[in-house]
Amino acid sequence: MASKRSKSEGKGDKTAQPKPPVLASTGNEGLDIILGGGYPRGRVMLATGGPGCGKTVFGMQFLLKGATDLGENGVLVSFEETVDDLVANAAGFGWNLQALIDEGRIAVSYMDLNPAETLSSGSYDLTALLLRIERLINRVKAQRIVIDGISNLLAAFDNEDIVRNELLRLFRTLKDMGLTVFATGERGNGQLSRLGFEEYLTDGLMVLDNRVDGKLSKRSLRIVKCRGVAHGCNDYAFLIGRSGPIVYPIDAISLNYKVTRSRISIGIPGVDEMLGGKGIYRGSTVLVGGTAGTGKSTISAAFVNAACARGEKCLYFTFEEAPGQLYRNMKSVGIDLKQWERQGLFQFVPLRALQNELEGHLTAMQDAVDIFGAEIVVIDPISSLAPVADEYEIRGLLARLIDFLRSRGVTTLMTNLGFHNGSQMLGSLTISSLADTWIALTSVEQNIERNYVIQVIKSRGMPHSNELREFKFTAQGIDVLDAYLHPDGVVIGSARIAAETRFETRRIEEESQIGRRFRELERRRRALDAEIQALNDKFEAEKASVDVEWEAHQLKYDVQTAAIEKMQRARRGKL
Amino acid sequence: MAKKPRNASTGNDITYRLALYLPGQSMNSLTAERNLREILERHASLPVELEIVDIQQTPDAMEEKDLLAVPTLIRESPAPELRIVGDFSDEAKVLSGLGLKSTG
Repeated sequence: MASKRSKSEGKGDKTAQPKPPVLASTGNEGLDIILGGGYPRGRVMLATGGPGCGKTVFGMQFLLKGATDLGENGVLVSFEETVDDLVANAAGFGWNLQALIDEGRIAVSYMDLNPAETLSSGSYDLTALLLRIERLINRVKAQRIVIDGISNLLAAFDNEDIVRNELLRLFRTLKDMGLTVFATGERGNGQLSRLGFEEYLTDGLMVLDNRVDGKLSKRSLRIVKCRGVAHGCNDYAFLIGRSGPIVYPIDAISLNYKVTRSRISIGIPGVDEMLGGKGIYRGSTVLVGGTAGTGKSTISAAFVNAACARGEKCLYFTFEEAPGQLYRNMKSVGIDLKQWERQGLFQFVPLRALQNELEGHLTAMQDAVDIFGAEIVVIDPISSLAPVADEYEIRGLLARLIDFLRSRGVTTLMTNLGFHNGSQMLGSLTISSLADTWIALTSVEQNIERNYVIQVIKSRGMPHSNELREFKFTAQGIDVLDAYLHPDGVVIGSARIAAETRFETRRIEEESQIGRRFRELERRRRALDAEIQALNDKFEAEKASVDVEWEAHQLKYDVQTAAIEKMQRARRGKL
Repeated sequence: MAKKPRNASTGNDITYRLALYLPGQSMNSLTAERNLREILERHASLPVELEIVDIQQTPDAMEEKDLLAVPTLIRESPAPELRIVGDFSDEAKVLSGLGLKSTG
C-alpha cells in the first residue's frame, strides 16, 4: 500500500511511476481548490499552528463533510478535548456531530493522557493506543481519521524516541488500513511543529497562522508540503465563519476569477449610457461616492431594483440605517423593494459598525452572502467603518471582501460618504483603486437652489463618458439629463433652463433675421433675373441685327466676287 | 489471599492491590511480569494482590483505565492511584513508585 517516495510527484508522469494519489475532499471548498481536490488518500496530513488557529475545526470539517456528503465514515481521536466539548464546538458551526455519532457514522474518543501520576521504568510502547484506535475504526468502518493534539501525546511521555517510533508505527498501521489521516499539533517556537520532528513523519504539512495586525486578526494557512500533490505554495487567507472555515484559494500569483464580459444595467438608463452605453461588467465592483443627500442610496436601490427584476438575488448591507426608513425613501422615488423581499430576492442586512471588530464584519458579510446565495451586494456606506479602524485596515478588509465577492462572481456596489468641504471620512483615492468603476455624485448650490451632478470618474475596460451630467430625483426614479454645455461652461438647474431659454430665444431671433435676409436675397435675385433677361433680350436683338448685316455683307461680296471672276475669265479666255 | 483491613496509622496492615496490563503473551509481557514479581517478592513486606490483565483478551479494560502505554501497572490500593509504565527493569523506580522500601 505504501508507495515509493518517488522524486517525481507529478500528474503528468506517464512512465512506470506510481500513479498520483487519489484525493479525499477536505470538506472545504477553498482548500480543495488549493490542493487540487483534497488530501491524498491513504496518507497523513499534519496541521500545525498555535492555539485557536483552527486546526481542530478543519479536522472536524474533514470528518463531518466526509460522512454527510461522501458517505465516508470517520473517527475522531482527541488528546485535548472531551467528547462533549467537541460535540458542542461542532454545534457552534451548525454541524450535528452527535447525530453522526448516534448513527454510527463517526466514532469520537477522548483519550485522557493524565489519569493519574505516571512513572516509567524501563521500556514500553503504545500498543494500547494503537489497539484502541483500531477498535474505533473497525466499529464504524472508518475511511477517515482525525488525531487531534499529537503534541500533547508527545509531551505526556518522557521518552521521545519511544513516542516517535510509536507515532510512526501508528501512521503506518493507519495507512496500511487505507485510511486518510488528518493530525493536528502545536507549533513550536521557530519550528513548524513542537518537537520539530512530527513533520518528518507525515506526508503533508499545513501550517495555520492567526496574526493580529492592528485591529484586524488575519488568519492564513500555508501548504508547506504535500507529497504527490501539486499544490499552491502561498499563504492563503481564511476566516472562521458561522458555518465553518472559509478559505480563499486566491494567491498573488494567479487570480483565478472567472472573467466575464457580460454587462448589466446599473438601474438608471442615463447612467448606463455614461458607461459605454451598456452598464457595468457583471462581477465587477462599483464605488459611488458623494456628499450627504446626493443620491448614493437611491442609485444603490435602483441597481438592486433592476437586478431583482432580472430574478437575481440581492443583499443590501446597511450601517446605522433602519430598513424601514430605506424602504420609505426608495418608495418616494418609485422603487418598491418590499415586493422583491416578499419574493425572497432581496434582503436588508443591518450592521452596527461600532459593535464589532472588522474581522467580525467580514465574517458576517461573507456568511450572509453564502447563506443567501447573493449575486448582487450593496454596502451602504463603507465610510461607516471609518471610526472603527484606520484607512489602511479598512482597505485591507475591503480588499479581502472584494476578493471573496469576485471569487463568487458577485457584482458589488459600495457607497462612500464625503463632506461638502472636500474632506472625507474614508479617502476615495485609498479605496477607489479597489473598484472597477467610480461614480461621483455632487450637489451644486447656485442662487438658492441645489442641483445634482453625476460623473463617471473611471470605469475599467470600457469607453465611458467623463462629462458632468445633471440628474434629478423624480417620482419615477432618477433622470439623467444630457450634458449641457453653455459657452460659459456647464450649466445646471434653473440657470440651465434660463440659459436654454435665452439660447432658444436668440436662435429664433437670429433665425428670423436671417430668414428675412434670405427673403431679401430672393427678391433681389428675381429682380436680377429680370434685369438679366432684359439685357439678354437686348443683346439678342443686337446680335440679330449684326447677323443680318453680316449676311448682307456676305451677299454683297459674293456678288462682287462673282462679277470679278467673270470678268477675269472673260479676259483670259479671249486671249 | 486474605484481605487485611486498612489501617492508616500503622501502614503495615495495608494490602497492595495492583493490576498489571499486558499486551498479550509477547516477550516483553513475560519479561515485565517476571521482573515485577521478582521485585514484589524481594521487597514487598506487605500482602500484595496482583491481577494480570491481557488487553487483547479484555480490550474494554483499555478504555476503562485510559491506557495508552503498555505494560502499565496500576496501584489501585493504597490510594492515591499510581501508575508505572515499562518492563520494570529499573528496580529503583518501581520501588519508589510503589512506595516500597528497599529491603536489600
